[in-house]
Amino acid sequence: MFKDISFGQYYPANSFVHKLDARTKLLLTIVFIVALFFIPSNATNRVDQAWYGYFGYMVTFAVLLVVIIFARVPIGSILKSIKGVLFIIVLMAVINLFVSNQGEVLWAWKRLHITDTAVHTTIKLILRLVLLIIGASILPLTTTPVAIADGLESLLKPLGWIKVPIHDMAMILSIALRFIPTLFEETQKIVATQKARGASFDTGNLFKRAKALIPILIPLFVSSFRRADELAFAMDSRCYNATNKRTKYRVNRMGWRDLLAFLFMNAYLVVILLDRYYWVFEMDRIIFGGWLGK
Amino acid sequence: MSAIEIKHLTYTYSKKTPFEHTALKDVSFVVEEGETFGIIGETGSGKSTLIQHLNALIKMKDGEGTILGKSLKDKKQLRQIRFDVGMVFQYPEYQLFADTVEQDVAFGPKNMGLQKVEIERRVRRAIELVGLDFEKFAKRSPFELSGGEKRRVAIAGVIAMEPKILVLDEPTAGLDPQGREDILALVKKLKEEVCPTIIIVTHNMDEIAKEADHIIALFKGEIIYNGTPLEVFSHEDFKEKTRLEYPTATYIANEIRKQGVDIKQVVTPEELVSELARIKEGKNV
Repeated sequence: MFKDISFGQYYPANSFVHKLDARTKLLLTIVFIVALFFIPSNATNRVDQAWYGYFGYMVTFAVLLVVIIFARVPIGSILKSIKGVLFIIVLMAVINLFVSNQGEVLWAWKRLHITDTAVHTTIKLILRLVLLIIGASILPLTTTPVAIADGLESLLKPLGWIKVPIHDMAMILSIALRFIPTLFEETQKIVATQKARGASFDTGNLFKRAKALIPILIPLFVSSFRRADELAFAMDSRCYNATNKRTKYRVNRMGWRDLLAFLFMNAYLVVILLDRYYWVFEMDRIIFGGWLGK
Repeated sequence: MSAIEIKHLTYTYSKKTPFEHTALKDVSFVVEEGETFGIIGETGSGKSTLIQHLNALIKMKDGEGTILGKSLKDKKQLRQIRFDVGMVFQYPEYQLFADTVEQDVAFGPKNMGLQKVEIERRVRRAIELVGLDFEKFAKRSPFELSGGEKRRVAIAGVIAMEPKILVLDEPTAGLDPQGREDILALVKKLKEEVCPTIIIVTHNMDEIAKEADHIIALFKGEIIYNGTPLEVFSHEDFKEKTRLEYPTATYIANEIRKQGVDIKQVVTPEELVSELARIKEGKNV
């Protein structure tokens, strides 16, 4: 019944972004995060106006919009990933709002005060976090966990030269990923069985609730060990040997899509770097200078 | 009063996601008290989803249902319904968790909040009902028993709750021929002594033809046939519409009929034998 439900956020579709090589998406996610952190979020001696950086966030927003359109994932599933960390974002924003001493005081009460600099840095902090989470969610939304594991293995290959057992680690990761839906299904079955015997998991104090999990966990462990045993036998009987040089069933090849994606994301990185070090926020002054600059 | 009445039950998994899947479509049926009721269908036809509705493990969304007069939609009654309908799932031995057989069987009655004396009485009775020696098995770990014994202990765990309706999902799956026979004999014994209304879910047409008074056949979440085994297995398009096999006796009778012999429809080996005897006598005369 639940066999076709993969875990995690993966949203099946047949889009440009889905067809990209997992390695491309992994690398470009890193490029995106690096670029995002080059946009200033607070005023320093090199960033002399608190409102510098809004242009960078606008560009980022536009880039993400293009990526989302090409990924054909519904906005709802992206917003869901923000929902999980909404509390942290709000908490950080509120703290940030009160800590800055620079700039003009807009509001004060007893020892609390809010300055215009604080408002700008708070807005930029929220923008940075929200855009970061949206950008990082594209990878799991458009790539199956197995593809991510394969991509990671391929990217980490150089570590093999210094005797890091990359292949073993990748195998462990893929097996773990492979068995998450299976164990999930198993857990649901056991929960149903014990519920049918009158067990309840949402009443009583913490200690009682923890104790109520025993009838779930023991059968789950028993069946996990049984499965592990069976899998080990199956691998042995196919002469599995992790130390040999093994070929892959799925060979990932980069194509024109990956080239386009690299060009696009690197163009974005270049714009952000130019904005910061060459134009030195000229675009911010042109767009926002009129009503933010004094 | 009927034991179970289900009307227009529809259920969809993962609604409004790309994984949306309708498991049950407008399912309606009635189970009378004292009946042995069979639910047949290929894998993924919605049998498991259906039986999980019967004791409110899945909450009813679209449709109506009453179990022994209690509505499946009345939240206050759900707990009682869960105790009224005993559910033995596929491979029930995987539910075992306690240190001893006795403790495992007592899990259900304890959750019902019964008195200690009553729990002890029920545990002893249930273990003996499933054909295990209480003195010998009570203090043993359920994990060191044989497969068949484990299954019996698991069934005892449900019986100890003294349900009024017993639902068994593939009770003979994964057992050897002797084990199958033993479990079927046990089901018969339970029907006579504990719980007259029994629902059996199975792939095994021979078993269901022999045991059931009434059958529903599911295909892709819909009831295709609803009637006695003889009625259901008499349909000529049964195989195509349900992707199941005929009972062996019915299959043999069908093949004999193809040879031009006038043989009545049968579903059990006993019926086939008496039908063949009738034909033989008729020819001899």
